[in-house]
Amino acid sequence: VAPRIVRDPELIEIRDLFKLQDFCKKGRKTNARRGAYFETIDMFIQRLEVHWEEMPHYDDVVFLLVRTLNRDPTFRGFVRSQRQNATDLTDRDLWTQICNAAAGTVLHQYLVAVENGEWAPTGVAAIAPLPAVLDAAQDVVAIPPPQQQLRELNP
Amino acid sequence: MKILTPEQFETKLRELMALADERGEHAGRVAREAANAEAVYLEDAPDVNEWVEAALRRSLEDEIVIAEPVGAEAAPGEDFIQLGERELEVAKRALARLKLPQLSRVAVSVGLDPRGSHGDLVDRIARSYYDDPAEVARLILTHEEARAERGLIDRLYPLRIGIDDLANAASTLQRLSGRYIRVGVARWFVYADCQTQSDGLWINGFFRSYDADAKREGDAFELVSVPSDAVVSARLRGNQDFLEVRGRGETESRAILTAVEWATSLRRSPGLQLRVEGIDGDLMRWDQRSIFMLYFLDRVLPDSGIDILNLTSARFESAVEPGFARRPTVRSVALQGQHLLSSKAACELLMEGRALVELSLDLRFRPQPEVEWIFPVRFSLARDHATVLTGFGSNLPESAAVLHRDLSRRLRQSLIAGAHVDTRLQALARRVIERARSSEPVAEADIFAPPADWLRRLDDLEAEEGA
Repeated sequence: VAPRIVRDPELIEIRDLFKLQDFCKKGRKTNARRGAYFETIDMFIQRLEVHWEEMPHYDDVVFLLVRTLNRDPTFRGFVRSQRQNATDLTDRDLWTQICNAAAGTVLHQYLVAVENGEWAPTGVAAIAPLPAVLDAAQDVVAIPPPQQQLRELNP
Repeated sequence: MKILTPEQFETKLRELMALADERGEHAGRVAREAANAEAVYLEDAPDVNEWVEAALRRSLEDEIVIAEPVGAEAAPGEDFIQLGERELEVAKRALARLKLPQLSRVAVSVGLDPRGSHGDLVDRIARSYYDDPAEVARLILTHEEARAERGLIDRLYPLRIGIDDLANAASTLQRLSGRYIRVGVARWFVYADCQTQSDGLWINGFFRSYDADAKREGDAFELVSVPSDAVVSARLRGNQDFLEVRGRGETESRAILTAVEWATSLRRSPGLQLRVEGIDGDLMRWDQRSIFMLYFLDRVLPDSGIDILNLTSARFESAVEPGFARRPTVRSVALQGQHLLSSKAACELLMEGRALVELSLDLRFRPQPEVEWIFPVRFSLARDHATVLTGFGSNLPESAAVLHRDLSRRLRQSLIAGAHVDTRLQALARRVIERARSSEPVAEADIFAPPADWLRRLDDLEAEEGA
């Protein structure tokens, strides 16, 4: 079963617009957050992998990460800082898209770290980050993007 | 796959959601303590939890088998599948009949994302409309291609020897009413009746066949046979070398042809000979069937209230090489999409000399200025006959019958008159060849493009939706 994670140019656009790669990047200021999110992904995988047959269904992890990010007040702070307070963080569609793009980005960073031996999954039995999965995970789950708002944000 | 009860599934979902929340708060604390990260709390923060739960639920339902309790007594014939699940799966099953390009068009028409695989689109559309079965049905019928189960179909068989004396043939056939003849293994044709009308001789009958199998129950051996019947009729016009057969399947159509041959002096032609005159230049390399089809589409079809809106599928064939061939060969190619004859792929096949033997298209039919219907239609050229199929689409069969009569007449007259290569057809062929040789992407259909007023209306609709 291939992971139902698909390429979505619009989500990539959101990722780049809000510099979402920087949220959990390697760095003195963000390492603690990076560790917290990677631990979280370990926990999600631990609970989900009993239901995965041959291939991991990373989109399950993405959905859970969306909820985690939504609950993290520093993620909202990060997003606001990237757009100089110009983003309407109360817009539900846009916020869902931002969380989605961020979730895919964090998962991608996690898989790369595992692949490179930089992160040892804790208590996770089977992680199979194949190159194709890595490539795909970057582009996360596609849902219809709020084009109108994107245009307003990035004319 | 793991089997869970619905209660266990809900518990699992709740636990995952709670964990996600808890980890979000934890990550926020860690980031604030370690790096003094800015935290933003909003009173009117948008709620994405509902979206996450629905998305995760859908995803997990694909991975986990949920053992639902039966909704009523679980017995054959009873409706014991939970109503919502049954409606959803029935909607999916019905939508799965549509091909991918048709599903994409359905998705666009209802404002859903048209991307993804066949399964993705079926799932997406079904989940949006499963509680409105009438709307699912309307969407399917509006976008499906013509098919024999929901349409009228005429097959035109050319004759080697026609019938000069229709009255005599009618008398013979009338005497056979109520009798049957065997036309194959466990296959019979029953002569029902025969009528002479102003427009020719009508022969009606039905085809009876049996599907048979062997079975054993205990010590008893048994042959099981299941009969099936198909109504079929044929019309023979005076001074016309075609037998027009109206029947759903090819088997019953051939059965009535055989039945008429055995009862009269009528003899079928071994092949469909298309008359195409004036071929020269680049068209010398084209298959005659392709030239005939293009001529028919360009000169015969769009007239008297009929417009081509969309060419949705096309099948091309090449000649069969006799015997065993070492060279890999492709005998048949089917293309599906929209405005196919504007596509480079279709133009290349035409230019290579492949025979365009089948075309599915959406036609707009305006029998009167204030009436407008859209029908899916299919034309095909087989070895020994030509076929026109008019699907009902989302219209009533009666209105399809009006168009079908007209289409059948136009095809019949084209087969009789043939195609004539003139400067207009040569110009069309040149455009096809240019398209085949061009490497430029095609932005808009320009070969058999939809009528201008139709495109204007689509633009207006899009503008309205955008506003």
